[in-house]
Amino acid sequence: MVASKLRNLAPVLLVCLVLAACSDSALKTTSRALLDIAQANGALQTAVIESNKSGVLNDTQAAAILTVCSKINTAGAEASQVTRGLTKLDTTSKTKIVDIMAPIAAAIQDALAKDLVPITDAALRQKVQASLVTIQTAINSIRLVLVSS
Amino acid sequence: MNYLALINAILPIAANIITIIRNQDGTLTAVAYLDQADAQFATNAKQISDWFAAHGKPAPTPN
Repeated sequence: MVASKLRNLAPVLLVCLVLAACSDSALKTTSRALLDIAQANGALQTAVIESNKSGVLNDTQAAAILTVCSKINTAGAEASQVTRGLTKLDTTSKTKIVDIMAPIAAAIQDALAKDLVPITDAALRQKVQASLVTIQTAINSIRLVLVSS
Repeated sequence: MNYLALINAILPIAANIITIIRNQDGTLTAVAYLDQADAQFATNAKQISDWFAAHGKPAPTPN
């Protein structure tokens, strides 16, 4: 009796398992990009704080960059919360994540376009710009995968 | 054995099988990425908050 029930359930169970295991690729890409953003932002703010300690950046300059970093952290954590718990990104979730990321992408673009802040140290300037471009690229990859999928 | 007992017996095994399938290709799951990202975002936020506090400046408001 039980064995026959199990036999009947087995194909259904197998399909469910495979479907659950094959998580949405957009979800994976988004999650991976959020981790990239978190790590790049962490490296950026550490570099800024160290530069402030050593006197390469003054407090005002450091605060300006850290404010952008703070916005990236807030938006990233928010996007992560929307993504968490989903096995597939539906249209509403995708729109929500794109909406969360849009102002951050604009803020980074603005910072890069306005030459960020007058950082005189060339090496640091390059490092900050490279980090912001990395974050910008990760944000763009999220937006691209969500809009096109 | 009724259906409920049957489901209760199967669910833990199913969860394990899902984990095995998900990790078969050596990649981390989306949830694992998000766990790491959240931990990093929290560390980042604390670092910034500490810096602003140490410099007597108001912490940035979210967005």
